[in-house]
Amino acid sequence: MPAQAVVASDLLRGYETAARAQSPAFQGFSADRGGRLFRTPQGGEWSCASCHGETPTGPGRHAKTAKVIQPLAPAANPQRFTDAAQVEKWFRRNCGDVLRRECTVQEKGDILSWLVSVK
Amino acid sequence: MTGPLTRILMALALASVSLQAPADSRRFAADDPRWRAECGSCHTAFPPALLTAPAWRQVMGALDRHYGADASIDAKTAAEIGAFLERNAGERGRAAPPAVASTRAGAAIAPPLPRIADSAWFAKEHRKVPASTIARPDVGSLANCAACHTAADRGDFSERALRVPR
Repeated sequence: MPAQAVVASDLLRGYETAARAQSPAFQGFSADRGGRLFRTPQGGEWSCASCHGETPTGPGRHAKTAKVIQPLAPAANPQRFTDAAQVEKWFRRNCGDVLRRECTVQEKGDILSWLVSVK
Repeated sequence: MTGPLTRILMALALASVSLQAPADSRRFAADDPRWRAECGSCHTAFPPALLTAPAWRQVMGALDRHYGADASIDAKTAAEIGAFLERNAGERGRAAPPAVASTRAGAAIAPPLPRIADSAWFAKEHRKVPASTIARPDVGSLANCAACHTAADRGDFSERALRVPR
């Protein structure tokens, strides 16, 4: 059975609820902060942009295999962020590759806020 | 009676057989939607016939340390894809042999994962590809099959679908 279809704004609302539950001091998500996080290596070899490209409305290229990766921004690729299980799988793995740990809800919300803001 | 025309026709028939044999060995029919989706997101979904069953077991047993990236998936999907790979795995000879574990006393180093590109068959098939072609930004890696094998996503690695960028 296919996972329930969602859109990026549904996922963002979910992250917001989780972030509020985790911390009463939660101040909301920041697209700017998400964009900086996306483009900046976090102590390791790669940033998100190493494979997805600096511009998420355009294609990226995998840093190791060189396979073309379709755009990440929903504005350019409406299939992105439509399956919550897929989104969590990729955040879990790719945050591990970039940050050597899982991303916090704040970080995921910041990045997704930035990706949906890019037109 | 074997006139010149008959001999020419026979020669043509033999030639077409010998031309087709290697082309068919470069077409892979095995398909599975989970393999296609999961293995094919960061690289070409490599045909199962290109590694042996023990080698696939080794790869699928270390998805969290997958050639420098975390490729871990849920256990159910991993088991299903693993079974598909082993069912359609290659024989020794063409497929790369599984990597041999380090026998050094006290060595706690995991054995290197097998690589399709390390097989003698792969090296022979790609011997005429210059290093400068692999280094092109639009090729970038031997794992980027589709850069030259334009129908790689359909398992078709035949000469007919080969376009080496220049």
